[in-house]
Amino acid sequence: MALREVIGQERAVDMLLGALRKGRLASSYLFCGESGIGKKMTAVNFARAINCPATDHRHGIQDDEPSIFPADIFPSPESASPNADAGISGLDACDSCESCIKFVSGTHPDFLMVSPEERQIRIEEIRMVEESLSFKPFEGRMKVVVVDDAEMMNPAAANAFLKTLEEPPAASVIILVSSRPELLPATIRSRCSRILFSPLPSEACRRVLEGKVPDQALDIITRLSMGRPGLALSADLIAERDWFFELLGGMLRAEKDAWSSRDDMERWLDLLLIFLRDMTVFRVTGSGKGLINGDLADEVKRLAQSLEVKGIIYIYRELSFLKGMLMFNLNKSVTWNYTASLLRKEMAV
Amino acid sequence: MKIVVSKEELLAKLSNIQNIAEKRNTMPVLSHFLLDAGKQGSYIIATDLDTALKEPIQIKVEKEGKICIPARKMFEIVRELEGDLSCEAVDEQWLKLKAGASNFRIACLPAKEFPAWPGMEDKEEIAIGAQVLTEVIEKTVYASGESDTRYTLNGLLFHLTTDLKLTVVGTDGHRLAIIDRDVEGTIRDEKKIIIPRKAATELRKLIDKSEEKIRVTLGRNHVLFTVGEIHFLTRLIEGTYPNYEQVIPSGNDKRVVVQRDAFNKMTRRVAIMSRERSNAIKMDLSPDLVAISSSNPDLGEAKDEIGVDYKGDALSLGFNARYLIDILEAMSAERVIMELQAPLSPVLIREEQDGGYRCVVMPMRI
Repeated sequence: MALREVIGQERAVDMLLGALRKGRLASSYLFCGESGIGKKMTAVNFARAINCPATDHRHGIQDDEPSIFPADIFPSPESASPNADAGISGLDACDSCESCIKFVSGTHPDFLMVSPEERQIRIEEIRMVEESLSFKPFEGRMKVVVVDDAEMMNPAAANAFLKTLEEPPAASVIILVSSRPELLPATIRSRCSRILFSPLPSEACRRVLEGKVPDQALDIITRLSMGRPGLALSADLIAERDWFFELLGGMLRAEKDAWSSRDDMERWLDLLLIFLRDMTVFRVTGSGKGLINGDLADEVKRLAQSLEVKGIIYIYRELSFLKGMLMFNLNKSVTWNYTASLLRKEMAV
Repeated sequence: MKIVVSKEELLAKLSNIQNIAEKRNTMPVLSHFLLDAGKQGSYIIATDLDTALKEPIQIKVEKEGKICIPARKMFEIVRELEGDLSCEAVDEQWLKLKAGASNFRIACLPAKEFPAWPGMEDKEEIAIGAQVLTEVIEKTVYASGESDTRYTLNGLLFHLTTDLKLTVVGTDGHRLAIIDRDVEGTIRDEKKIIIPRKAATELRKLIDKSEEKIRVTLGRNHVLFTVGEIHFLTRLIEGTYPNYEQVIPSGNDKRVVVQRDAFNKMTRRVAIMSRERSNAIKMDLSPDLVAISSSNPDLGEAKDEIGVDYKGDALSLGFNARYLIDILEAMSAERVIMELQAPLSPVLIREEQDGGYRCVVMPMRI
């Protein structure tokens, strides 16, 4: 897949292609935006475009010493098939050469992806990155490192990375991917060129999901994904919503807490906030149109009947605050009871 | 792919690549080697992404093809087999191996997953005698850094000038070894390339068996050494090597000439009682005599002395014994010269005859 085929992130893609066209690549990028909207995928495809031998852009990062050679004197011999319709004026990856194929199978020697293990990126990983960057490229033009969920770097790792981010070895591009860039140390953020990604418009989201989810559920899944198709592709949103309703029912019947992990809590609160939003829409418009859970309009109506808009907004505000506190290891059953009492009081169940 | 190969041939070629095919790695394909069987000639290739090795192999090719075979397992299997082996690839996923009544089926990977052998088109070529190359590596590699965060130090600098002088430098920031030798060929302009330490030691092992000249092909990102039929390629380290000329002391006026072997043995003896991590020893110079001592509060003390040629004032310095021993063992002359100035200024050590090999070591504060 080429950069141009990334759906719904035209602004980010244009910036990256522009950098390639001008041969002015930054040495480190920070891709930020909500999760599930294609940051990592764009990063991988950017790396492919940088290294695809069918492209003819010159790269802006110069060696320390000027070289008498042209920038790309070592195209891999077997993969140098000139791209007949290089399409986007020969900037984008061709998708068919060996270099591009190796990115798909994850075996490109000049590409490294680091992700958190046990919710942390440790200093050992960063040292490994630094070591691999210290060599010249193996077969591609530039070495590309992607650090996924970069905000998970522990302080030691982040500090160890500063020097490399500021002065990376020649022919290297570092891409930090983060859905919560505000958690990164300011010293890291200020060293990277920031590329913003935004949730997809529902039309674009629909195009991404088309053919990948059952047709009859496409509408509802598109709405439930809230512009984050990655979520819909990695989980069954409908089953997730059924689970949410089951737990909500249990909560209103004063049952015991049923979350099994912190991720569960987070996802459940997300769904509850969406549901509160639907109830508000229903209270204001009085109709089932414009609901995200459109197929469950009856349920929304039933629960919204006993609520004032003011009450819903109050719950919404309290729960948004609660959600922001999740990373501080909230106690599961205390959180459950608090949420339950909040809902039961306002709904007067 | 379908081939027949003798056990001895395959075993010999596989033993060459065992150090290069990685055992612990994130990319599974790197623990494999690529067998490229062609009617015009067959090769096996192994790489750990820092270095790569390609060697021809004599096999009878019945059907051409390529496949990635796990290097370690294949080596273990071949070692235990007898006679000729016939191998056949199945769907690029399996290798059927048959020798006499023994049958193996080995899980393999498709050839296209293997890293491409980097092309080197615009290149320059020089030739170095096998013994010279061995020498320059052996005499510098001990001084180079190991997993230093100043990553340029984790390699050897090969500095080539247009008049075909080669200077090889290794340093870890505390000591430095530098050797000058001549090479043949032509190069367009001065070159400074940094060869990773691991590649240098691996290369030294390969040359061991060779007598002839070694062709060295210099590219922008790689260097290729052709040792007989074997192609050994290494990726270069990126960055600028520290200016080594700057740290070689020139005004050291105190000159000590010592018997290398006796001095080395004495240092080794005394070092036994030095502190474990620092290896610190104390060297007391007086006219025509040098005494070395060490002490460790937990263990005790040691002292030894030897007659030398020295005509200056008395002087005391501290050294890391390991650094001195490394240098003395890398040198071959009967007598070596130490040039010093002050207790904390760098010391230059060189052989009495060969002015082309110099070592610098920083004294310790004692």
